[in-house]
Amino acid sequence: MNITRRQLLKYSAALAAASAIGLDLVLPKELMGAEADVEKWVKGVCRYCGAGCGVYVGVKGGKVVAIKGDKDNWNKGFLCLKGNFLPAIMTAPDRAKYPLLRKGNEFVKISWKEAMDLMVDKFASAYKADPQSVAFYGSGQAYTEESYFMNKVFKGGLGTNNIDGNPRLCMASAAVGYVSTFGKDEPMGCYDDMYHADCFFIIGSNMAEAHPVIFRIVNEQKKRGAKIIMVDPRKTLSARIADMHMSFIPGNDLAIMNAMAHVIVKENLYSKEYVDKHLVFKKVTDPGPPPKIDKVGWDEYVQFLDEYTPEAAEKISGCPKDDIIKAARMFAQSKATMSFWCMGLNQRTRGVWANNLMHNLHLLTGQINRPGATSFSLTGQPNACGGVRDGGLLSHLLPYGRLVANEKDRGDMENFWDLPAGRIQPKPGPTAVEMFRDYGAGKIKAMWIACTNPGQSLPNVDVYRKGMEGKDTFLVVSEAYHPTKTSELADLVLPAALWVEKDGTYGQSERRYQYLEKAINPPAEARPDLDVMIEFSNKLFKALGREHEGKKLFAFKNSEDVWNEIRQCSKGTAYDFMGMTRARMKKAHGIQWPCPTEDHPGTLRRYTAKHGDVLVKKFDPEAADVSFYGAKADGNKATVWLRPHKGAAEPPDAEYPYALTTGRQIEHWHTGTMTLNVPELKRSAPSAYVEINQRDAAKIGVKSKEKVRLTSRRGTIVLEAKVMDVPRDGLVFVPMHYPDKMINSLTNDAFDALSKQPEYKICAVKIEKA
Amino acid sequence: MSIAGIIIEVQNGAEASVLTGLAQISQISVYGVKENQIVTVIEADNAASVNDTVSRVSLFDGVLGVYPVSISEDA
Repeated sequence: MNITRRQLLKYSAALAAASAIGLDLVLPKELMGAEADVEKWVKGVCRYCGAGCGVYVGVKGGKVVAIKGDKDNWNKGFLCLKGNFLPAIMTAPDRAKYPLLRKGNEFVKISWKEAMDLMVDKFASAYKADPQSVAFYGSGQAYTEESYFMNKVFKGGLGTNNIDGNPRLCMASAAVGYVSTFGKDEPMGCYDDMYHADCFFIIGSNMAEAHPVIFRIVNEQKKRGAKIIMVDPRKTLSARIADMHMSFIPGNDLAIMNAMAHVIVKENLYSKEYVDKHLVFKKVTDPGPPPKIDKVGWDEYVQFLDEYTPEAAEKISGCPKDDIIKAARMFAQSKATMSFWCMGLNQRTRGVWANNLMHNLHLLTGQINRPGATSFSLTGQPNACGGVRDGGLLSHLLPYGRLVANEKDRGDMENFWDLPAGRIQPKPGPTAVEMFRDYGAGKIKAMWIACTNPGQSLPNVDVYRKGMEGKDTFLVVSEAYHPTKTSELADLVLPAALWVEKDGTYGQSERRYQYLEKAINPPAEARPDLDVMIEFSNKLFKALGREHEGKKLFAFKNSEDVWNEIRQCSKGTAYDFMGMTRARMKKAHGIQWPCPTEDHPGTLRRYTAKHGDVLVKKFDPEAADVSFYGAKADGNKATVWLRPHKGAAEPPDAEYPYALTTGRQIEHWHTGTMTLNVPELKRSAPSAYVEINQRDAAKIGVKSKEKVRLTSRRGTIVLEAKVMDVPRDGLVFVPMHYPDKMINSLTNDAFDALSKQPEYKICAVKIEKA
Repeated sequence: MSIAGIIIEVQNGAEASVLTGLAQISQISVYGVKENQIVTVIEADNAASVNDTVSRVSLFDGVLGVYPVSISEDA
């Protein structure tokens, strides 16, 4: 490469700025490896966020040496800054290469046979003593085949629902929001809707930094006249290009959304035809458990909205009433309104309610079921939707829209997996935070964590880290890197193949499933997780005296075998992948489900026959066009929920007067195990900081680059201050990526009662000069 | 050496005059313009000098705001 480090840094800086405003700026070939230097290009998907950008991986001499965006995929060849530097994550010096066993405070290298024998022995002993004492914690970064397989092992083979995954921490509220409103999970719309929308309502998402390639398209539409409404207590890079930025006191956006509905109803901006044809209204009359839910009429809904006048919402939220009125009118009166949200709505103790209220606005106005009009939840991980939500890896789910608490669904899966009746347990297992509590309490004796880093990513993390150090428990961590903040706590570390060192399937935010071809071999003794899972499961069942059953249940030779069973498992459901054969997936640039037959092109928009959802006629033959066929009990109608305003679990008070929120920077992803291994990204964003606005900084008496101490009821941290006009008064922001400054030592592990997703986004802190 | 990616937001119709002004500052390279926003990179001896340049640009007629997106140090 004839490029200097300085040129590289200049281009990195330009690309970061260009990505923030959606300017098309492509890295020059000499920066990332010219085509002439590449022996072959292998089709794949970016390893990072849930956008699911198609990529081609350049390989030379058995190494990943280059990357380029897939011009034939939805991202049209564009990648973000992080994506452009993906090759560097493969050769990082801290790649895990050998199985490692803890001996006191050190790890020693052992053979795979020793590792497997020990792991089988520990899990078998625990299981024999109590079948509910073993657990698996998975990931929205694992391949679909890996998640499906482990779900089958635990729920089907072992008869325990002690299996959950990190999407519980990021997507669970969105999933429960979709199910409770529309009957089935996942967005009905797609990225193509952006090209048809003329109004974007973005709430709880800094798309410019967290989903830059999607935001590029939003910006493209802005150039064509589309309007952007941004609802966020920070004036983020995303907010800076918005036509309207609605700032509010953190945690009080439910009042804003109810007030927008109030304006829409009072000003007659709703679609009476849509309301009459497609909606039911419900409220919770007794929270239970179990909750008592009643259907109510339109009049009661209107009465419910009475108290949410724009004036009242302004008092609660601090958002000016005129902005609320203007936003409601823009939302309702635009030709097509598309909403986006992410962790700002989901990581809340009222995350499901916030999701319901978002959907309410689309349903009332009829801004739904047509190109450009849709409510779209953005996803944080590349396969949270595909592997975990669709595949049913969460502790209350079974694959493809089925529930463990539903007798028929359990029966269906017992038949499909050829299990004895009653094998699948009816009670949902512990969710992420609960699972780590149980592990810390010794209730779970043997636990396997794969492809994720809860030792850094759990809220109130120090409590759970202490639990993970348990003396009479056994923790296995499969990781591509070591040490991480989780693998350092393990009893056994299994070196994992990373990304294109193995093959498999990712399913991203718009229901697009994409096949990732294997491009190179993993380093040293690292192995694909699926191979390890298959070997472990067969050996575990042998140790349990159930060898024959194990051989029957886990008769997979490779990921294609698992994929073919997945297709069969989805057959006839509202998901239906039958048309997505492995051969077809290898050629395609992603296929969107439902795709019931091999000649079916995939479905851009669900729940509308007119726009191509063939399942409408299958599940609701009488429907002329729109049918929410997942909501059969409600006559295939969607639900508008009466959800009252409720703020954060821990709002600021006299002792802890500031609200702390956490989030992403454009350079980094999640706990930084990958991006902090990319020198260019690390140089650009090397360490954590706390963002404070000028007025609050003056009150505290702190300037940029000076140290401050942040303290919550759970922990304390010293950070460099960055004084800037981004957070509103009373709010501070800290990025979530840095293992040496774990902000999750301070965050709150209170969670949503419906989704069990924790409230990372708001907790109370005090700040002092350090 | 500090290198910063900067977005300069300008008023409608002010792009040309701002670009002319930027051309007079040797530390600034322009990478593109989109919807009244100019993508630039500032190279300076240190972060303080980047801030000085940002302050200078923010005083140009027609500039609505100057927003650093990334800053890195080239040792």
